Amino acid sequence: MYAVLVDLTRCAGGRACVSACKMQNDLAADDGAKVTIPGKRQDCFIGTEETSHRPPLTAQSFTVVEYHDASDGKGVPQWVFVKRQCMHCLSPACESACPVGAMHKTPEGPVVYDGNRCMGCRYCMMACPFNVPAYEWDKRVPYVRKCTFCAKRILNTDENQAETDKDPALREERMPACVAACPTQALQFGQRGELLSEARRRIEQNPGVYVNEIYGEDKAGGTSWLYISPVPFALLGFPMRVGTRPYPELTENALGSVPPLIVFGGSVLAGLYMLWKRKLAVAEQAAEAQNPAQQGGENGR
Amino acid sequence: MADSHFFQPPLKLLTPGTPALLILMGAGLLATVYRFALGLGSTTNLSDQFPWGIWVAFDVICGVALAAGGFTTAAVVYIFCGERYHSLVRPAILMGFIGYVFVAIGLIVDLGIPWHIYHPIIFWPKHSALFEVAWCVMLYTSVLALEFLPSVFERFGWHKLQDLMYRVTPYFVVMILSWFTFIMSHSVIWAAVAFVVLATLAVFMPRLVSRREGVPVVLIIAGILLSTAHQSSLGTLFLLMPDKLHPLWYTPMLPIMFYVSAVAVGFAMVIFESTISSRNFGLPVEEEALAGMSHILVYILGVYLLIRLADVVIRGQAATIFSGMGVLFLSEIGFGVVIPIVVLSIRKFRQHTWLRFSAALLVILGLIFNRFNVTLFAMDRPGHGMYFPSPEELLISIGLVAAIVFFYSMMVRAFPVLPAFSQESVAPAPEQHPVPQRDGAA
Repeated sequence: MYAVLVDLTRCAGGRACVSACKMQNDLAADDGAKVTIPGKRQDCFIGTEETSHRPPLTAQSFTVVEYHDASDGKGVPQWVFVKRQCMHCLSPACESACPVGAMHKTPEGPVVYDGNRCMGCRYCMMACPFNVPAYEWDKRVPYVRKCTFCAKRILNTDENQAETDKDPALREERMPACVAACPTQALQFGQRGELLSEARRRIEQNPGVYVNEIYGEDKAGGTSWLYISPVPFALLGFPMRVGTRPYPELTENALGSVPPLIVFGGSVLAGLYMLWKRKLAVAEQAAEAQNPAQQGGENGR
Repeated sequence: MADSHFFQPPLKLLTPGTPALLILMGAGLLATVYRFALGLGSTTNLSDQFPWGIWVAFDVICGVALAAGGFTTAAVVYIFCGERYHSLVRPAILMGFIGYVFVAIGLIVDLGIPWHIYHPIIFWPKHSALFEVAWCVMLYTSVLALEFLPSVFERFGWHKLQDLMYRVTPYFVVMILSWFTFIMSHSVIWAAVAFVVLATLAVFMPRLVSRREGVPVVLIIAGILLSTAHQSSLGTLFLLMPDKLHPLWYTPMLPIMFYVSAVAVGFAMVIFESTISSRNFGLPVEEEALAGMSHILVYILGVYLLIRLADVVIRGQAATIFSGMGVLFLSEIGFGVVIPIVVLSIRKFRQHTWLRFSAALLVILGLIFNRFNVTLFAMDRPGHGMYFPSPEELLISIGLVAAIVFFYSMMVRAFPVLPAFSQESVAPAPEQHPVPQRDGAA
C-alpha cells in the first residue's frame, strides 16, 4: 500500500506542494470563497494573521502548510511547518459514515470520493477525526472536496513498472504532485511498510532530532500519511484525542445488533401480544356469558 | 359503527389559527426557494467548521425523536394490554406519520444534492449508521401510512380495501423486515433466519388480529422494531465522534440513551398534543388516559435518569459534571428529566391537566436540548467559531413546525381520528356531539 512520509525537520515552509496541488487539481484561490475562519462567515481569505499562518483546508485547498512557532514564546521562535491534507486512513471514518458508499479506501492507499453517489449529507465532515473533508458551500450543486492522494497519477496500470521506474521523470509522474514538487525531500512517497522502517531508522539514527513517535502509524487505526517531528505533535495542532482504534469499529456493535433485534424482538413482541390476546379472549368469554347479543353484533361488522 | 368512537370537527380551511400558520408556512416556503436558488453557502451559516446546523439538529434529529409517539402509543395499546389508552392511538399515529413526512422534507432542504436522496436504495455501504437510519425512516414512514389507512377506509366506507389491506399486510411486513435484515447484515443467513421466523409468526398473526383494533398487529410490531432500530441508530451516528463530542455525552451507550429518551418523549408528545387538540376542538381532555400515560412516563424517565447518571459515573466523568459543560448537562437532566419525574410521580399533579401538560412540555424541551447538545453545543469542532442559524435556516425550521400543526389540524377534520369522548362515557351518535365552543387550528 502506498504511503507518504512527511519529515517535519526537512520542511522549509515554501509551499511548493500547495502550488503543485492547486495546479494538479485546477483549484482556485480561496478569495471570496466562504472559508472557515473562526467566528464568522468570512469572505476574505488572505491577509489575516491567523489564516496566513494557518490557513484551513477548504474546497479549493486540498493541502495547506501551517506555520507553527513551537518555542515557549519567550526566546527565539522555533518554526515548524506542517503540511496538512487528507491522512488517507487505513480504516476511514468517512467511509464508514457515508450512507451511500461515496467514500472508498482503495487497496493501493488513496481514500477516494465519488461525487456521483454523494447526496450531500456531510456526515463525513462531521466524522473525520482530522477534520479534512471540505464542502463547496458557494456552489448550487455542492460536492465534498479533499485531497485525492493524486489517485489518478499513482494508480497506474503499467505492467513494466519495475522497468520504467528507473526513469526518474516517469517515476515522478507516478508520485502525488506535492511529493514530486517538494524541493527539500520533506515528502517521501513509497510503500507504507518501507516508509515506517525509514521513519524508525531516522528517529533512531538521529538522537535528539526527532520525538519518538510516528504520527499515523496507529492513529485512528493507522493512516497512509505518516509524520515524524522535531517537537511533540501536540504543539503542532495535531489532533491528540484520536485513539488507535479504527473508527468503523466504534459503530460495529451497535449496527451489528440490528439483525438480532429484528428476529428476537419480533418474536418477543409477538409473544407478548399473544399473551394479551389470551387475556382478552378470557375476558370476552366472560362478557359473552353475560350478554350474548351485544357480542354477536360486534363480531358481525 | 366504528365512526361513533370518533369526533370529526367540521372541515373548514379557514379557522382562527390558520392565517398565522399560513404566514409562517409561506415564509418557510419562500426561504426554501431562496435556499435552492442561491445554494447552501449564501443562505445558511453552515461552514466547514459547522457542517451540521439547526436543520440536522432540529428538523431531522429532534424531529424523528418527537415523532416517536406513534410507535410508543401503539406498543402500549396493542402489545402491552393498554386498552384504556385506545383513544390516544390514532392521533399519535397520525402525528408520527406527519412528523416523519416533514423530517423527510427537512432532510431534502438540508441535503447538498437532494435529488440523490434515493441513493441509499441503490448503493449499500457496510458500516453506515446513517444508511440504517435512511432505510428505517423510509420503511417506517410507509408502515405509519398503512397504520393510518384504516381511518381513510372508514371515512369513505371502503371496507373491501380494508379487508385487502388486512390480507396483504403480513406479506408486506415479512418482506420489508427480511429485506431490511439482509441489507443491514449483508448476510443471506440472517435474512433467511429473519424470513423464517417472521413468516412463521405472520402465519399465526392474521388470525390473531382483533378487528376491533383496526390495525393489523403485525404492522404494529414492524413499526416498533423499525423505530427501535432507527431511534437508537441516530445515537450511533455520534459514536464516530469520540474525539469531538464532550465526554459527558459521548458514551458507547449513546444508541440506548437515544432510544430510551425517544420513548420518553413519545409519551410526552402524546400528552402535549392530546391536551392541546382537546382544548382546541372543545373536547373533554382525556384525563384518565393521559394521567396513566404520564405515570408510564415517570418510570421511563426514571430508567433514563438512572442510566445517564450510572454511565457518567462508571466512565469516571462524575467530576466533569461540575465543570463548564456540566451546566448544560445539569440543566438538560434537571429540567428535562428530574423535575418532570418529581411532578408526575405525585398523583394529584399527574391528574392536574396543566401541571401534567407542563411536565410533558419540559420533557420535550429537555429532549430538544439534549439533541442540540449532542449535535452542536457539546461538539468540539476545529477553530473557535460560533454557529447561529441564519434567518433562512430559522424560517424553514419554523415553517416546518407550522406545516405539521396545519396538516395535523386539517387531517383530524378530514378523517376519524380524534376520540369522541373519554373511555368512561357512553359513545353517543355523531349528531349528538356538543357544539365545540372553541374551534382553532392551532
